[in-house]
Amino acid sequence: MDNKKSNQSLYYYYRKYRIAYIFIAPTVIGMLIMHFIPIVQGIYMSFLKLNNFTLGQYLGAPFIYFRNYYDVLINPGSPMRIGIFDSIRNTIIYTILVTVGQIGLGMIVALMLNIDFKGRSLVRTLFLFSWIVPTYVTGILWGFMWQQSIGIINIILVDWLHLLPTKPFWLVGPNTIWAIIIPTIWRYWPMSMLMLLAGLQGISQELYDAVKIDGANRWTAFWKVTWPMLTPVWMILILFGLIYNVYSFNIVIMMFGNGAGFPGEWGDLMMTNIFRNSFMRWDFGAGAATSVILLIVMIFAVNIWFRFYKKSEEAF
Amino acid sequence: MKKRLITYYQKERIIKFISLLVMGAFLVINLFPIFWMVFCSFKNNNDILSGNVGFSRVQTDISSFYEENDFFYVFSIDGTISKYSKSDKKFINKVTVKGHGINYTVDSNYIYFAVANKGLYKIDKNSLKILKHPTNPITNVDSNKIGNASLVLAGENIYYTVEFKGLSNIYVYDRVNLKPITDKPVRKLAFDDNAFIRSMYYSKPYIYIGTDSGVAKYNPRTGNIIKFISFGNDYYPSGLQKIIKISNNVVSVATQYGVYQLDMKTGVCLNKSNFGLPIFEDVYVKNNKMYVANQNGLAIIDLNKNIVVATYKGLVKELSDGVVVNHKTQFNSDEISTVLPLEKELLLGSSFGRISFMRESEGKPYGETQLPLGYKLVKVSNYEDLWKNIDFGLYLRNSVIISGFTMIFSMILATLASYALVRYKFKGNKEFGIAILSTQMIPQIMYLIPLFIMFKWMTDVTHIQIKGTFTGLIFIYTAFFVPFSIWILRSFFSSIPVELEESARIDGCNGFQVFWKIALPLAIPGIIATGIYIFLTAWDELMFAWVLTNSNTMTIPIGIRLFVGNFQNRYDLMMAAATVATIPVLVLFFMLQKHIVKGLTAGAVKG
Repeated sequence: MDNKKSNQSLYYYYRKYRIAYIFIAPTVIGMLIMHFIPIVQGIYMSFLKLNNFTLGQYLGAPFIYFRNYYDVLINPGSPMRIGIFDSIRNTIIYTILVTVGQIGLGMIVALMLNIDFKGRSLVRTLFLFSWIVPTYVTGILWGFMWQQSIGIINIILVDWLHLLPTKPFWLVGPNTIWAIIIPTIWRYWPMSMLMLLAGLQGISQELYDAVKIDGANRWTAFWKVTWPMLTPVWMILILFGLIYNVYSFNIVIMMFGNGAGFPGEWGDLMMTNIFRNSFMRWDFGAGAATSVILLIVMIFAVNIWFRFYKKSEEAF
Repeated sequence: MKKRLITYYQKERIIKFISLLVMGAFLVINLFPIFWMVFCSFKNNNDILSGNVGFSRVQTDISSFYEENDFFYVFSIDGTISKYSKSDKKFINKVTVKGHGINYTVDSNYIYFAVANKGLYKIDKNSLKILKHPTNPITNVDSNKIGNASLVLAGENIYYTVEFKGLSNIYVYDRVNLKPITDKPVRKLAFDDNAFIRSMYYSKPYIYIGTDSGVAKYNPRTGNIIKFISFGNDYYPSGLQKIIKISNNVVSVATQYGVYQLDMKTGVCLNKSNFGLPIFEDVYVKNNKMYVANQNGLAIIDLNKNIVVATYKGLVKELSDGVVVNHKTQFNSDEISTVLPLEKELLLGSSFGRISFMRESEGKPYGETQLPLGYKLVKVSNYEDLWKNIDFGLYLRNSVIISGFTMIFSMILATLASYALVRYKFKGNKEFGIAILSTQMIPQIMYLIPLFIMFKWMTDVTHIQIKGTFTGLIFIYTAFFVPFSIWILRSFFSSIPVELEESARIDGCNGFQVFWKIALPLAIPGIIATGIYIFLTAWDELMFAWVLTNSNTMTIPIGIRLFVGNFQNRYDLMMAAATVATIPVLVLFFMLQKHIVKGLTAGAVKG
């Protein structure tokens, strides 16, 4: 009796949800093939000596335990370790500054666009243009503009405005970090602006009226009303910034010799480092090991983010 | 009570005004890189490389003169023919053919004008009107790589060719209407694949072809090379400028380093001499005298005695004539680029279109004039050259195909999955949602390494090519963009009221019909918006395409990477390529921006 009932309910469950399972089936299969299998393989490959010579053996390549991790992080004699800490440092600076920059810039412009004026939607669209420019074009274009003698940026800064005494090198030396941060902000800030603007338009005027009666000026009104009300938006933007910028690749790789050049110790990011090790030095094991390390760090970072997000949601 | 300086509303208005001002300025700065990209795609690469911000003007260096009756004609390298009166040295009129690598030849009524990147022109001598427009035989070559065009009149035909490495074709045209002679096909000369044809000379019945490696004697009737004499290694091959004289099988060739006499029968160099002069710019032979325009001025050589009779310096002044000569470029004020002896005087030409006269007896210049500045060099042809240099059309097509199919497939999958996620609380719903979100957290290179190796291995084992095919890349892209699409589309489906679907159910629709007839039509705007966004993302993808495409399936970013090896520092073409990669998506976005903005912000804000 009991068995029959449960069978019946299973039948009803199946009838009710059959279509849902049919609908998600192709996606699930695709994700298994293209996400799950490669990830498992990737983690396994990080323990293999997988280079150009052992490539043909596929997963049968020699199993070398944690040798790749040792080579990447600790072994001072390994070519993989050269520049890895530079790229980690650069990635941290880059991610923080780009995320702060794009949210800050997006916030300022969103506040300005929140004023009612003629042609507002056109201006907003024009602001979005830099966000549509493909990232590889962004890399090429800014790489061209940063050129030392012929680049327009140095021409404007030195020849026209006389802000600097001599034309600096942007793509060589410590300036490189700025040369990759500024284009990335330029490319991504309109996205932040859009979301913050959408958030701003959801804040009711009554709140502002209330704080105005309390005697708040614009500055305090912003920090007491606008910013807290936008918490979910900028929290999401921080997550986006974290993910997009840690995994940023196109802009940096294309800026230096269209991908053939080396970004230098102040321009190399984790992704370009891994890509170079894997597809130019043909050491896939080390590349896989570095990406596993990156993944673990990112899982931690996103977890921390999630804790803050939960807290901000509860406070809301 | 203290009186306020300005009222509250005035203050509001001032703040608003300042905000708009700041915003406008920032808008200009933000759009500037895009503007600069498009602007530079129309610039000449030399302008870019010399740091010239605007468009420079074409130089009007004088390449040669021609005199007839009361007039003399000045041919300059920017493609201008200027006509002057001989008696009072006054400018009469001019005609400009924008092009480079120009050469000319003249018969009794017409000037024939060979432009390296455009082809042949026929111009009326008196009115300087262009009578026949060009038929350009060389269309698939980057015009910047072509040197000079050369042409020669032979009987009723014109033989035309250009200086381009590896091209040794001679094109034959009818002299009257500049039509290619069909029954005489293009002659492929079989002497040296890497020769540059510099000059041609017609001496009935043969055409002598001067290349940088030797001189060929060519029979236009049969199309055969009768004899080819190589300069050999000790003959300064790159300097050949023109063939000046042919007599009794002896060819006199003027090069940058002197005059050479080659015996066409034996192939022996009879004589070579530079008379102790610097680099030759041009020579002209008249009455057994050779006038050598060289870098230090003019020299006259008596050909009978083979000695320098006279040398002159400082013959052309640095004229400006009310216009500023490009002062960034250094030029040698003594240099004479061409010379033409008239009846009583010598006509001298130099760079920047400077002209002067000199009597041999006096040795001092007079009557200096200068050609007006050349046209501004705006190069729309960069886009043509881009197509000729790299197979950009193929890359554009590949990008459209890959991004398009990725968009279609990922939209189909994502629509189904996100609808199921929103409407059905099946077992595993939450887990599926989390799985979708967490895929966004994994670095893409983590997939790329195993996929690359997997594809390689599968090809080795099964001999089915996956790497380098559209199918492989579209499959990967679809799988990668589906999670993000589901994430956005979920908010669209959840904004559709459930009541509509419930009432449809009561009317007897089954689950699929509800989806197909009610939910899907309502979600179409959102699907389009998301689809466009996915198209843009796929268009933007670099890393996978880099590794997983071959020369037939390359997308635009990979095509642009080819600039590294082939055309270092061709910034003009690079900016043209960048513009071509940007404009389609910019237009697409501009047309559909309302939907996209709405869709993305809704998805994001609801999170």
